[in-house]
Amino acid sequence: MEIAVNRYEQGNFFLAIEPRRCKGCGVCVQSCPQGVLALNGEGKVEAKEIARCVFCGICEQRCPDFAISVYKERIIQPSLV
Amino acid sequence: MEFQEYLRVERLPHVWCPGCGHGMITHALACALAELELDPRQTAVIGGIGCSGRAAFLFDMDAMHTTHGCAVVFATGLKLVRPTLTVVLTLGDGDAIGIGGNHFIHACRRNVDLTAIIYNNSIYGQTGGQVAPTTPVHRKSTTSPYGNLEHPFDIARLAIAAGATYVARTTSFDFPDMIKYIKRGIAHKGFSVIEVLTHCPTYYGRLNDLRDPYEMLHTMKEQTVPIEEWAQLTEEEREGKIVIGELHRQERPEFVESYYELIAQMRDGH
Repeated sequence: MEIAVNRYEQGNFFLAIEPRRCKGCGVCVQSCPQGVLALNGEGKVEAKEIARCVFCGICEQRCPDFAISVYKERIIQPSLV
Repeated sequence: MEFQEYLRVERLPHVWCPGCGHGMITHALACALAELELDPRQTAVIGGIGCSGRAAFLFDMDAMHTTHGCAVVFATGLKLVRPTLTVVLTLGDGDAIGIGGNHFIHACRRNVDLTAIIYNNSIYGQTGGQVAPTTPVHRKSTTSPYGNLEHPFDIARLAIAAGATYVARTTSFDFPDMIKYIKRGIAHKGFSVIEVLTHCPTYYGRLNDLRDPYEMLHTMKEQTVPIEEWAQLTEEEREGKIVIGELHRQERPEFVESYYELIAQMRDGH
């Protein structure tokens, strides 16, 4: 089964959000220093302002549900994203 | 290996409540295992009962879900039989010092080569928010609706007094620190205790007017003082604050090693 992953790209960096894992706690939204993230109507996180993202990785560290991953040209197997 | 390879990602989303700090600690533990490049076939994660016990079977390696308070006992047995294994414990505050308090202090005393990560959320979360031995005084829980009268245990100090040879305390807010201390704890030969202060928005937060998980994380950050700054504080400034950092480190003969040495000696004697 294909797992839905939303990818938000900016050059070589990208943010991967897996909506199935997100519980909508909002910790990442409040932690983001650039105001990139927001909760959508379904209560799932979305990168609304990806252009402002500096790929600091705080959202990945704070997310208790492993829903956000920040990739800085890291080589990773596609199945794990 | 990436940290995801140490986890059973197919079991996600996990069972913890939205905003629960246990996910952050489990994430840090997976990152620490990945940074140490441990072989999953030579590593075991043991969990007890409670929300924290759920962490054990998120790991793609040998794991045990043991009876309440007895995770340390099972881990000691496992380590004695298979001394080459790296054994990590995911204990809750109730598991470590509530129900399993006696087992915990004796594991500290024996100095068994285990790494205990204590998910301290100040309440019994899984069973409905009852008062725990770590609930701060005057704080509410479902069994202390007018405020708790008992003074809480200081897990790190208890572990030091009982004889643990590596003791560190941090919060789920400090992600790099969690990884650093877990890595040092695993590398240390002897009983390592890493107490991670975390938050329970569902019970502790709801009953104590801290509903928002991020607000709880921030409150924890404000309540803690790094050990480097702790020495400069006066008694009044220390009131209500918690010291975090690497609190204790000591070298002492390790139990499993001593046990096998004794066996070798006895064999030579005959």
